[in-house]
Amino acid sequence: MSQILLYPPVAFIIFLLVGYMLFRLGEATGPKSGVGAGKISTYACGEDIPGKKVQYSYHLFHIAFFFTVLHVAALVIATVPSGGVALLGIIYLLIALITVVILLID
Amino acid sequence: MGVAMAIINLLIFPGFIFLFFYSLFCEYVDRKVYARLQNRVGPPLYQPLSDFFKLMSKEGLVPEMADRKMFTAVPIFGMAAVVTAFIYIPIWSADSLFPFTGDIIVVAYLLTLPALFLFLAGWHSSNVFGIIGAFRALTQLFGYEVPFFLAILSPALITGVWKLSDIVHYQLDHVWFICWLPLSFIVAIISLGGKLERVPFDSPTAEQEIVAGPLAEYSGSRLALMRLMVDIEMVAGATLISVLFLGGFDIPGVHLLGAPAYVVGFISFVIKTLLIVFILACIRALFARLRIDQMVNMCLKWLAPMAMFQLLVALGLKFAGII
Repeated sequence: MSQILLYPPVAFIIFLLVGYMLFRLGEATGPKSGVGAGKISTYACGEDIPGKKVQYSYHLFHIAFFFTVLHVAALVIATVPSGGVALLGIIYLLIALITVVILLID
Repeated sequence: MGVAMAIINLLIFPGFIFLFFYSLFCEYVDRKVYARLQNRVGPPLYQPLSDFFKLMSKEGLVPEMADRKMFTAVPIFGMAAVVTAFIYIPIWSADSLFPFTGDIIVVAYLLTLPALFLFLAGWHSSNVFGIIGAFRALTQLFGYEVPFFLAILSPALITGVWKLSDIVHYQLDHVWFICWLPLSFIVAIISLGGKLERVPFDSPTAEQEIVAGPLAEYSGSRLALMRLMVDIEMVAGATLISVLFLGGFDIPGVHLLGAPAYVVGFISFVIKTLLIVFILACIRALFARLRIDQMVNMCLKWLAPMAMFQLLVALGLKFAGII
């Protein structure tokens, strides 16, 4: 029964509570934030920028795909059981390699 | 055993309180070594602790455009993730607090989360610097994550077990894995430097370019928790590498039983983690910052192939019966 407290999800929730209590401790010991226009405006090294949500386009999608394919392939290959199923693992690896080659050509 | 013992283990040793003080001590060692290498005096022993208390007592502001709930939740979740990762790594014996099959994968994935939380922190700050830093943090994740996983999983693949306790036992019976997997050890330390956003991989937090990157808008207790998260991540990563490659609690030639074994194991843990912190501090002092595309190129062209080559060599040696 006490072992349940040591399971990863339960331990995570316990540490979430600890972290939240630390945060509340900080809020309690610190000065109350008086809301002034300058204090809560977005930081821009002293410039006045129009306050709106900033959108940013990502130029490195091919690296993201490359990473996803390799990362998942590495984990699947690492955890494939030995025996006949390993052949399927080799086929999976070949498909992953073809994907990587396509990404690199592009 | 009971609930009380489990709570004491989770909160005091080897849980939160011990980890809090030990990570601040490792931050002190890192800053002191870095300072001495730059011919400076460096901070005193209590400096990281006083930094933490200072930040906790400061005003915590939330920018007007930022998502208040996410802004507050990210540091708390990040800190919970790294503390949870630490308690499943063996410290003073072959067994961690709760060993189970597959705990090495759980620890590796929990150590991935801080980078994602850094991205979320920057994204929800709605600050340009934050968003640029957030994307850089994520792009760096793509770079170092594959080599890190390859290096961390190499001992598991060699032994064929997926439990940290069994890997430590294997090293007790045979030689430490650093002898058979030296390249994986090097790749793991370099990738850990990338994971912690330390120089030369600190472009997400490049002070000279984007102020503080994702943490630009953070202040007060939220910033204190984010900094604590990075320190605890350093200790967890160093402990994981020392368990996988340096034998964990083992000191060669020392075989004790009972309570002295735990004391000696703890001293061995401290020595090995401080060694890795020392190596990280030296790397920090020696190198300049890499640009983000240089970093990703280096990781995918050099680190990942190095780790894969080391793995192939080690698997070949294993099938030849040498390991």
